[in-house]
Amino acid sequence: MGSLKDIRKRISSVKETKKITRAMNMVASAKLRRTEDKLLSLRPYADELIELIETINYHIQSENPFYAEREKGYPLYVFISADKGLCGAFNSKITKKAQELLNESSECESVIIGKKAKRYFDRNDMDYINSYIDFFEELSYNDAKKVANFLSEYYLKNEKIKEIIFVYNRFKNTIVSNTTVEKFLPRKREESGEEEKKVYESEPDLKSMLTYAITEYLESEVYRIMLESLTSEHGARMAAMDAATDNAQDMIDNLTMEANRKRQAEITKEISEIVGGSNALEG
Amino acid sequence: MAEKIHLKILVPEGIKYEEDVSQVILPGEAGEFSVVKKHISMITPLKIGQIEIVSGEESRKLMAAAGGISRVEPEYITLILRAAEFEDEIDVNRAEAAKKRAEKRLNSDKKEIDYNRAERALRRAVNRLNVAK
Repeated sequence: MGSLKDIRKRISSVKETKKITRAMNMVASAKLRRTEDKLLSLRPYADELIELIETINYHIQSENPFYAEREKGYPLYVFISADKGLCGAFNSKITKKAQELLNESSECESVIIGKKAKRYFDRNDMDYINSYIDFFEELSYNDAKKVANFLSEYYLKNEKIKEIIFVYNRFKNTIVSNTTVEKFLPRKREESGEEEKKVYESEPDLKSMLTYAITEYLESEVYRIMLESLTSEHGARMAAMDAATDNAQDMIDNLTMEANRKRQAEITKEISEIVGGSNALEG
Repeated sequence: MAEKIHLKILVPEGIKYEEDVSQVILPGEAGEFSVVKKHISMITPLKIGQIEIVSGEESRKLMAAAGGISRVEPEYITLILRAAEFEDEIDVNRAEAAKKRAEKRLNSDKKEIDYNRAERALRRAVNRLNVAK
């Protein structure tokens, strides 16, 4: 064990680290709130689109390629991780799930969102058809749109793809977030209740309006999923930094105790030296 | 003025505007059209352009819209837009800069630029500037 001076040095260094982890915790919690707000504000927009799509679906019985089930083919997975680390098991949960899914299926393709997952795929020589990184610092609707457009075009072009599946962490609370495997395409048609059939005037026809609305809806879905993942990332970082701050405090407590003990021992030693010295003089 | 119709404007960032208004003028694909209460049910796309909301004799509001879908029912109108700003919210400097950028892209000789994208960006910027004036 080092000298008293060494221990004091360590205490001050741990204190600095604690300041940083606490600051990161607070930043993460502020960002968490902001992302949650974005998620909430997106809902009315997406709901309105679904309602519109349902109404059109109800009025015209047309087959849309985004709704048609495909009999044969392999899945396309979209894995969403974070761009940054220091968020506990957030990223490893995704890569673990990715490994599991890729081992299971004999044939499949992957798309990657997030630097951490990309690095994992690169390191392990795993194939992917496209990757998107550096999205999450300032996540915008346009970023999600890019991904959505790529996916829907790719899906329409490749008959061999049976379905597109998103794998991401879904936020429940700061302690729990579930790794979710969610089907993105083809969509499932929701049964809407009976309503009166109306005549809709539409320019162009309702069929192309449907395609237009679905494209918009898919964009908003990708945006939602990315926001969910981002919320979960901030939550995980908050929890991780909270634990780190606690650990730092424990460490400071232990080190302080040790420093006090050392100081006490030194004082005792000094006193006994003085007493011993004076005894020798008197004697 | 005539009876009022419920107008709701939605963008990905939330509900932009929700109010009873007397008339709305929308930028349709085939030109501007106006909607009042008891309009026939209609679903139609909107192009980049301006939306005029009339809520009273003197009260008119202008909005720059970046395209979307409008759903008109006799009792209400719902606009689902990619982006929308009221005239006093428009950042003129930003729009000006976006316009210059788009023009530069359109005028460059490079082959790989996406003309459609640049053109849309230019139209959005010009639209914002027009509404802000």
